[in-house]
Amino acid sequence: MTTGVGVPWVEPDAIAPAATGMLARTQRTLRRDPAALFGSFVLFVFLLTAALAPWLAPNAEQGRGATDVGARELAPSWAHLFGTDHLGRDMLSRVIFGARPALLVAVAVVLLAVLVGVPLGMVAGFRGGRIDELLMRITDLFLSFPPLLLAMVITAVLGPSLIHASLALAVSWWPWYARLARGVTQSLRQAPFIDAARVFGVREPIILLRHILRNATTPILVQATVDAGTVILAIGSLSFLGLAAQPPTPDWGLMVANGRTSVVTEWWIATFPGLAIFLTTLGLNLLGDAMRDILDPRSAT
Amino acid sequence: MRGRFRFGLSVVILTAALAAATAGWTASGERHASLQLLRVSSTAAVTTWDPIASFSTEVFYMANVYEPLIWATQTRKGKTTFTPGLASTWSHNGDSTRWTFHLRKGVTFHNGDPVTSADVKASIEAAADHGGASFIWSALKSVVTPDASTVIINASAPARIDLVASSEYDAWIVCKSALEAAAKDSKYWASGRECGTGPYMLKSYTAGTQVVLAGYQKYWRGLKGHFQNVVVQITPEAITQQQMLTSGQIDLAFYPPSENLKKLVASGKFTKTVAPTSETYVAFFNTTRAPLDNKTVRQALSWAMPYANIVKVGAYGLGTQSRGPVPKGIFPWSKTTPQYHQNLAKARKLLARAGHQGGKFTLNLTYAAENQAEARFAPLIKDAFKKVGVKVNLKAILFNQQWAQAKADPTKAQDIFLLLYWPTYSDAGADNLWSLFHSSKKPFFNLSYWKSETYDKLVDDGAAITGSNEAAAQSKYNQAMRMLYNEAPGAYLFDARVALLVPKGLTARGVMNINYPFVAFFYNVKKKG
Amino acid sequence: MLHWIGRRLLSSIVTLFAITTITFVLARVIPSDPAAVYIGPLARPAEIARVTKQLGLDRSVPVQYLAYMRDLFKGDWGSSLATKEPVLGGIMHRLPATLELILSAMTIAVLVGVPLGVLAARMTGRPIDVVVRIGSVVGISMPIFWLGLLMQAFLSGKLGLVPPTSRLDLTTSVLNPIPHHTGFNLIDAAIAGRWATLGDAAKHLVLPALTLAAYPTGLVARMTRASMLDVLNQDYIRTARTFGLRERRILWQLALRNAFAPTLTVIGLSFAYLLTGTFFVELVYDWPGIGQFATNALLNVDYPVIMGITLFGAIGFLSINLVVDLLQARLDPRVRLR
Repeated sequence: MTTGVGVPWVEPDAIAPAATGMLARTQRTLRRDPAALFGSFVLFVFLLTAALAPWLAPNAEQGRGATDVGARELAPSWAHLFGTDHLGRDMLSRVIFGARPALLVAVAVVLLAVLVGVPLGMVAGFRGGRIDELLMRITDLFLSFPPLLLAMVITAVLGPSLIHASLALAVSWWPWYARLARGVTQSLRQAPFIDAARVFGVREPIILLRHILRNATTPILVQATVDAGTVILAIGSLSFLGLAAQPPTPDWGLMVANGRTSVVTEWWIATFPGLAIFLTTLGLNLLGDAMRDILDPRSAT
Repeated sequence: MRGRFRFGLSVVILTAALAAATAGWTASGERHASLQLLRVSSTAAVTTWDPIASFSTEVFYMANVYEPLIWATQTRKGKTTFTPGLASTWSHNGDSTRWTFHLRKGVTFHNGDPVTSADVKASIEAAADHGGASFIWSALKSVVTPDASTVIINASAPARIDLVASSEYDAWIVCKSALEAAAKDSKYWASGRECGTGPYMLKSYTAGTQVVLAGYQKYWRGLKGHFQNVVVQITPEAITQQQMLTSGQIDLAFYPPSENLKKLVASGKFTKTVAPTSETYVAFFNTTRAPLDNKTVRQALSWAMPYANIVKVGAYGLGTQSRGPVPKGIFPWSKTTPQYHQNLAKARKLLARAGHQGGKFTLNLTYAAENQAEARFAPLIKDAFKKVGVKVNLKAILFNQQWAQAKADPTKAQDIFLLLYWPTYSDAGADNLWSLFHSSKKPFFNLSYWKSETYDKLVDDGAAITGSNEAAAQSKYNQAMRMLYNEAPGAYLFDARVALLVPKGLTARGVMNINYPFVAFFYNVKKKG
Repeated sequence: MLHWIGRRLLSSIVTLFAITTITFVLARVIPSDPAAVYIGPLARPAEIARVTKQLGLDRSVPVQYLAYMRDLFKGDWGSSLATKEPVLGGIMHRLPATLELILSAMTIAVLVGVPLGVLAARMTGRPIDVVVRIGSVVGISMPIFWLGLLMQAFLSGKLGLVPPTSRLDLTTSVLNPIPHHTGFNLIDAAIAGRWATLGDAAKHLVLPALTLAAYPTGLVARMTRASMLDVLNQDYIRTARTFGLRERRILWQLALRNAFAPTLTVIGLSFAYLLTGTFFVELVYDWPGIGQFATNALLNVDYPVIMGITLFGAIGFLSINLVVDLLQARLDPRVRLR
């Protein structure tokens, strides 16, 4: 598991692929655990906001970047719930539109990391031997950079942009998925049903795809949920440094950076976008926790 | 010259807090009788301590440590005049090819050596040979020293040596012994050495963090009534400087964000004065391909440009709209150069005449990501052009990369390039006209890639006669600038200005000088009365 | 054991070698001109050509790589293009400031996180447990640049409780500097017996340290809670209880000692996280450490510094992992080093 910026949480094999009673447990957890409920709610709001931004935003044009110099730096009021920024843009609209790049980047990074990491990890775990050894050395290498540093360096070198930052994050993220997939594959390699499949002459790619991937899907999904939040936090951090999104992208981290110069007086410019990053990450982390509890009854409390 | 400052607009703020500093001192129980420390914060990084190679932001410190033969200053009417530096008097022959400087007597370098004509000769020859701005000495033929206090500079053609000798770069007089030592040891200056005559000596340098200057007690103008020590905290973040200022950690900040200017003035602790700078913002139109190869389209976009809002937002209201690429107050700026003003109807009409009814084309605009002023006003250009049907894609990249891409292949480069530019030395405007729009084989700073033989000739002729006949040169330049208006290879956005917040109880007359961009003369920070 | 350390060191060296190669290759695809960065904003073509030669950038990339590796072994990590200072020296003279910050944050994290984790484990399901659980997720979900900004704006900007930036009052640091022993202002001021200065240094340190502590505190609390729960369910604890050992003693001595090994891993990992977390804190609070050096280099494409910081970060990261593994073997007899 990874949290924060790639710090392992629990070893992959701690998540037992379980199916029985999952639905019941999900319901119970949601009912019992307000944190999980909150997490689901945040995810729901986040997806909804990203999808419906043009309709939700009070001023969609300004959300996309249109300026209104006459209405600069207005404090929050009924007309502008989150106030306006240095260029007179409605901050609520900006924050709402900010959900789009955040979601896009989170999905893109996690998907890329999964697409690269999982097949490699599965092959390594299934075959073992030299291939496994090689993959482990390579992942070791990637994981011996302090978290985020590799991504920072790649972005700085390629030139600051959202696309480069997403690529860079994916590059530093895939090893975690490779390890996760490898762990699951290894634990299943000797399972009776896999042996049976082998005996019946099912070809290796089919075994990997049909039997092992199916069992690996759930832990990967949990991992992806937690990681989505972490990616949003990471990309916000890079944007804040000036290494990721560039204006006029409605990026939350960038908005915090823009509001920094006047945070004491025009506090709303930096506060609300930062709050959006925080709440989204928090929600996804809580949801990931809850999902883990559901999947792994041992860790349930 | 083009700056990579994160904050294009220069604002200097002085606050009191001297008393507070002294109080803090006493509180720690360690008293010092003659304590006088000016605490400054600046974005100015040191790229070298070599006064000859220096061609960057370290001039902020150099100008307090070294002195030139003569200083350039601005009269109230905006004309450049000269005041004595290490030379007390100077003169030139009729055609400006032979300039004689008489050195002030009794001046010593910080190492104790007296200043002689040999030091001056060595400094000028080193600057002309391997200076960072050695091109300013291109007219130099020879330096002759008839006696220890006379220097004769011979030029190969009529030249304004006074402008060169008062330049911000490569005009500092350095002791000969240090120059000789540096010639033998390429790392001589690296450790933070100096050998100047200025009011302050370099006491210590912590790379990238802090510069400490100590007053030179034998300074020829005296140090009584001036700050005895100066500490400069190098802070790349302007917001940090403002915080240090408001919390009383520093007395004087260089380039804090000016959006907070009004609030700081409103606090009642400061009086504000506004002074011009030599920084100017230009938007280059890529003239090598459609649609910007069409003069009428460029004119249309010049009419569509939101100048007033750019000044309001990009310069926090502190700039003035430019007349051509030469900033006001610098030769050959002229009030006869016409200006565009935002007029969307006219812009639409011109676009239609050029065959672009309703706009309907897209342009790529690049600007320096680290320039906050550009980051702020670039979206305004996008919005304004949208109103005449022209779509603008904004792209922020680091200046180095932006510039590298722009120089590589004009036909594949950006459509619009935002540039912050300031001239190298006092004759200045000529440099702006030449560097920004004179044609060249390979693009350098002419990022409109515009080529006009007529323009080139006007600028070349102007430069050739500036030394001998300034009025005639001005008229050539006026014609050149009118051409830039009509042909519109670029839009001339605004000249930046500086706000100086002087705390009650201090005066700062002469701390800023338009001829020395990015310099603060600490010597001129004084107590009132 | 020694054999194990030897093997670990050897594999670490191979890793470092690979990392250096990767960063070098990355650095050489930079689309900007290092010579132009070196000269600064006022670069002229002739000057760029001269510096390109001087920096050896006109040589082929493999030759440059060999030269770089050779210099690296000699302890010459190159010089910053922007400030011209030697990279290794630059890192070293900024190291104490960063270490002071990181160690303070870690101290806060352990002093707050461990007791909270133990408490939560003892009170499973009760309000305090819920608060600790959610609080720890809050800590790890917090954008520290934002937290830092808000704390700075409110506690320093609005209320004026503590200075907003830097490590020491300028008047003190320039005219009456503390004698340099460790580079840690707190310790140096204490050695010199300058209590006013010590207080000043502490005041400057408190906000950055608190900001940086958010993440590791959350992580430590969470891991302590989880491993305590594990331990508390084990037989020997039950046995201890039936023997009538006092609950406090069971909790804080018996259980915590055994639960501490996983927590230690998390502390090590937090350290690694703080290596980059400090970049943001140093930026916001203008803390003159390695993080500032790094962010400036990243934004200016100052590639010798970028490479140096990456290498240094990797060395730090690997050593922390090594130390954690060794300590763990010490603490937990079940862990065997092979």
